[in-house]
Amino acid sequence: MSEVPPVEREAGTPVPAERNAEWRDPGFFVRRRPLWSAVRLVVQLFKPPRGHRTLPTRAGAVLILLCLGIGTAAFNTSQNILYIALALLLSSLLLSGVLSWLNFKGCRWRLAVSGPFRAGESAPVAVEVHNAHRRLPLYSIAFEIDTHIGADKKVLHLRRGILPGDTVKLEWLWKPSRRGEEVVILRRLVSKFPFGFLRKSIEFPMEHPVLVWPAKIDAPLTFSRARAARPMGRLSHRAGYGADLRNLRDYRPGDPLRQIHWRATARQGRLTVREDFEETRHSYVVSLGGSARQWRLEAQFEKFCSFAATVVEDLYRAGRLQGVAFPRERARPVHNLGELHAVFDALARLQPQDCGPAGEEPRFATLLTFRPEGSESVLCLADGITVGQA
Amino acid sequence: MESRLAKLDYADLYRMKWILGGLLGLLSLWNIFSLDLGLDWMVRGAAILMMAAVLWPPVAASLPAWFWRVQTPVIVVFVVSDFILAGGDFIPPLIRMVILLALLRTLQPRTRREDLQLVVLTLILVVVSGVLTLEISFALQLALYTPLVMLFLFVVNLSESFSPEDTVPDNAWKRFCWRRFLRDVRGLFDSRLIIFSGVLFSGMMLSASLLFISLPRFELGQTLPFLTMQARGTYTGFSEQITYGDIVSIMNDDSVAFRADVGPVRPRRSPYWRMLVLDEYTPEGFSVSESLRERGRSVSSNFVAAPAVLRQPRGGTPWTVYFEGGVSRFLPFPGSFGHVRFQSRHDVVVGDATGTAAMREAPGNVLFYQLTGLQHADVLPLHEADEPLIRALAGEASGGGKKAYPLTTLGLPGDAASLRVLDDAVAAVRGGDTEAMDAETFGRRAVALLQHGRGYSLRTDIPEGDGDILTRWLDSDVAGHCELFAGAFVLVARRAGFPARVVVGFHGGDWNGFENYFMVRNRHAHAWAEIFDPEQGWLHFEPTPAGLSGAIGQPSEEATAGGTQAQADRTWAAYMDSLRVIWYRRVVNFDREQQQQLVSGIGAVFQTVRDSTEATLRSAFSALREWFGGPWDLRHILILVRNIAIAVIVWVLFRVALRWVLTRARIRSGSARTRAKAGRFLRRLRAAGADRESGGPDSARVRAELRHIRYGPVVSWPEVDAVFRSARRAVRRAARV
Repeated sequence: MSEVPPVEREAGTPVPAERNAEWRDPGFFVRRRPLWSAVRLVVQLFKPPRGHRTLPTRAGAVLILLCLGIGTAAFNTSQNILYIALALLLSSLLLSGVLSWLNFKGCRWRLAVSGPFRAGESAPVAVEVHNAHRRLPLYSIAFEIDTHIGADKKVLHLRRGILPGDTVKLEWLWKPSRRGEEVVILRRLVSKFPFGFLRKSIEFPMEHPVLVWPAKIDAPLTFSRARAARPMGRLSHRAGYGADLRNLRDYRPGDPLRQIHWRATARQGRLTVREDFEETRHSYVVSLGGSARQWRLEAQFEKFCSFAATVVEDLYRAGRLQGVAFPRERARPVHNLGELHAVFDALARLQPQDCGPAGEEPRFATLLTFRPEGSESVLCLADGITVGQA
Repeated sequence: MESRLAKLDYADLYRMKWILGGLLGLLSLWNIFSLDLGLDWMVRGAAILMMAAVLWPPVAASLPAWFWRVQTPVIVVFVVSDFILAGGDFIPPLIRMVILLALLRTLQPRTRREDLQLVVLTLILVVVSGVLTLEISFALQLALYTPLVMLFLFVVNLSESFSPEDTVPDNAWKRFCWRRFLRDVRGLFDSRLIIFSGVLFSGMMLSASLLFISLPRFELGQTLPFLTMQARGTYTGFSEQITYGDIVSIMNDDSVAFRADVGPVRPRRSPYWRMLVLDEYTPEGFSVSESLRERGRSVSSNFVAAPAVLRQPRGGTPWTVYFEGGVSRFLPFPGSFGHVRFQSRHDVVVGDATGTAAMREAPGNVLFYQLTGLQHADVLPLHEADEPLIRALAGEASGGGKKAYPLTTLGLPGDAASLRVLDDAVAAVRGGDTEAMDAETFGRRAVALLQHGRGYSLRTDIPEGDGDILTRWLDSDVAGHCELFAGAFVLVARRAGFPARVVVGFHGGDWNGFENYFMVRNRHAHAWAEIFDPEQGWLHFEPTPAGLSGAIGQPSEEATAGGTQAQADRTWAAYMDSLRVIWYRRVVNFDREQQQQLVSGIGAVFQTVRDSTEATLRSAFSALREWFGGPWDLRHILILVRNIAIAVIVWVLFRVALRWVLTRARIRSGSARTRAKAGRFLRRLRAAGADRESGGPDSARVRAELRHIRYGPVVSWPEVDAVFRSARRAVRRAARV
């Protein structure tokens, strides 16, 4: 954990995404001047900070009604037994507030969104909660998370208490419904601690933009008809998957683990991967070119994106993907996971108006193109021959 | 605790809240037992069922859902019928309804909403029973109920995190074992948590006490109707119609009838607490005549002027009486006074001519009232109602027909045998003195005659024969009790032509040596007599032999009037009783006046502190000014330098001591110890030569993590134990190299 210490921040103001990894706190007693913090706390009792809300729950409403009833009876009859009951009810409300404040005081949290996210597939969105108290456990906290576009919502409850100094991760398996840019928002912190009389919430929107890749769909390609027209593969001196060692280099994120050269790693004391000459198997270039007019139907365009992403992934897994040609761009080589993810990122952002003719005809590879069929289907063509349909 | 806390699941919480709910239900019935509402069978049944639900929870949980669904209409039918059958008395059916609902909620599997209902129902039972009984046990009940209900609500709140949909877990009672459950629960509490809970509870009690003291008392005078309980029955000895032996039966009861707070100084005279005056003679005993009853003045207020014959405009010590419920509707008065002040509005019938007052209904719970300006009174002054008596004694005709009060105070037995006995007694009192005798002299002689050779006994064997029972006893020499002495005295006085009446109430009381108040028990019930003097009014006479009245088989040490006083009661029972009076004084009877006194007292303390501080500062300032205004010579300057040096040294020492204390406190704290340990590991690594980059990536990582623990924020520490283990290995490796 290489986190920075909590930074005081006015509640209710959104936190920039780049600071989501920082631990947040409710803003109680984080300053080094305890006297000033105490004064501020007293002021906050009368004028809650922005974003802080305290509302009675059903139990709280019952308690308030009971207070009113018993108070009326006490004033009416001067019965001190009723005054005692009223005083106890009021002090239980007071105690509830103090305990709630104590509970909040020790709470630190941060949004942990790692991804990748793919439409139709679940991936964890986590909130890490830390108990900064030295002696008291942390109980009964909930976080409200939602997404900006998909309007998915989730309340993450802290089910068990967190012991002093411990950290737990509350996970939400979020299944995005559609591709594109999305924002995960940690909306507020909610607690009914300790007796459930008051629902105290602190609005502290932490926004984390995420990119949702297109969904993977079930649309296998059949290359039998296209095979006859396939050009022969050629020897390549480029790095890729093969049997002959081309080079050793330092490990980069995204490199497959099976490429790690363990002996060299042990010798050099750092992770080293091997690069092989690419085998001269036949490969494909997926072209995402086309005209904006042909993708007028939104649902069909979404299907196209999903189909393209599926084809790109399948070919990559089969080691037969040479590159992907985006509209008006030269074909991007896709040799590792990082490049594949970059393609998915681009596909996630792709809009019909971005479509246009492919930038370059591939050499030594078959070009896979897509076009709409009817009002719903999308065809995948290899050199003009249909190899798949979604 | 750590492992247990981590394993706590919904079923555990459900089990805890079930048992806590059962305990809440049981606790809420505690004070209901002391209510005299004829609910004993129901309360006992509910308590047994609740206990069964707590002890054998799987049994209740195994009942089918339809069984619980059927209960609701059954209870509705029962409650409606109960209210209809109860007529206007709505408190018993109301309490029965709440008990039934609480029982249902205790026994059936509950959702969170039903948990809240259980809390509300038990709270209603606790408060209502507390209001109706005003017992000190309410304080204990509340002291137990409050933490229990807090824990219950806490568990209910925690369970919401597990089941936002508010469902009942299916597996809650599968393989349930009390031993394992208790072991698990015990594992949840460590000493730190218990201390913290104790501090919180104390804080809550403190804040509740402060709120109780500071809540404004508006005294709206009970403009809205509220729960008041009427006694189901009272002692027959304290009613308008008393037959012989009624008061004796009360005297066999040793329980406290009322307590009287008379201030710190014990009165020198043993008080007579008059409750009612019996004017009419009947063969069965004395009673309150219809005409006297009709003379009552009805008042509905919380501030009632004393009866006219007892009215005392002058100031005196206020006495507070805590009158137990179910004793009588007649209020005991120990002398003349100004006003009766009740806690709330009451309907009172005041007998101005007799110096008595009665509630419309006998209170079912403790009644508080304060008598302002109380003074002792041996003679009740003349009242306008006594005019017919004065005329009758002057020989004027009183008119025919049935005699009305006050002429009823001259009524006698009609049979010749009784009259003969009375004539003999009158002759004995006069002793051959043929001159006119005043009432006081006659009364004194009559008392002497009655007490001559006659003892005191609660058991009397009055000879059979003709005539009135009193005259038969008078004609014999058997011992008697206060009713016989007072009754015989009245008849003798009346036969001699003096109007007389019997007064019933209490005499004396045990003096509580712990809190200085009278504990007047039922065995202190007493009857005495009043004789009419046309010039003075009604004179008090005590015909019962001195030193023997009010005792059950044992003579009291207390003198009847003005004699030696009994020793203060300092037994264990008296101590327990004094707690009750403290409860009454400080809590139940706490009113706006006491509140104002408290505020004034606090204000006076602040004022005193402020005045003394101001005076000290003024004198110090004037002394300083005088010193600076003096001649400045070398000695003067040296003194100034010396004082400044002392002040600087004291300040520096203070800062050093403060820093030392704070440093020690930081070292004692867990994080400081861990930081110090990380620092030691860093030094050992440096000493072993493992601080160079040549130490390898592992060594560098360990050093980075140690530096993080040493200087970084606690929240971002890595796993401390793992780092220290790695550091230990790194030190060993470096040492080997």
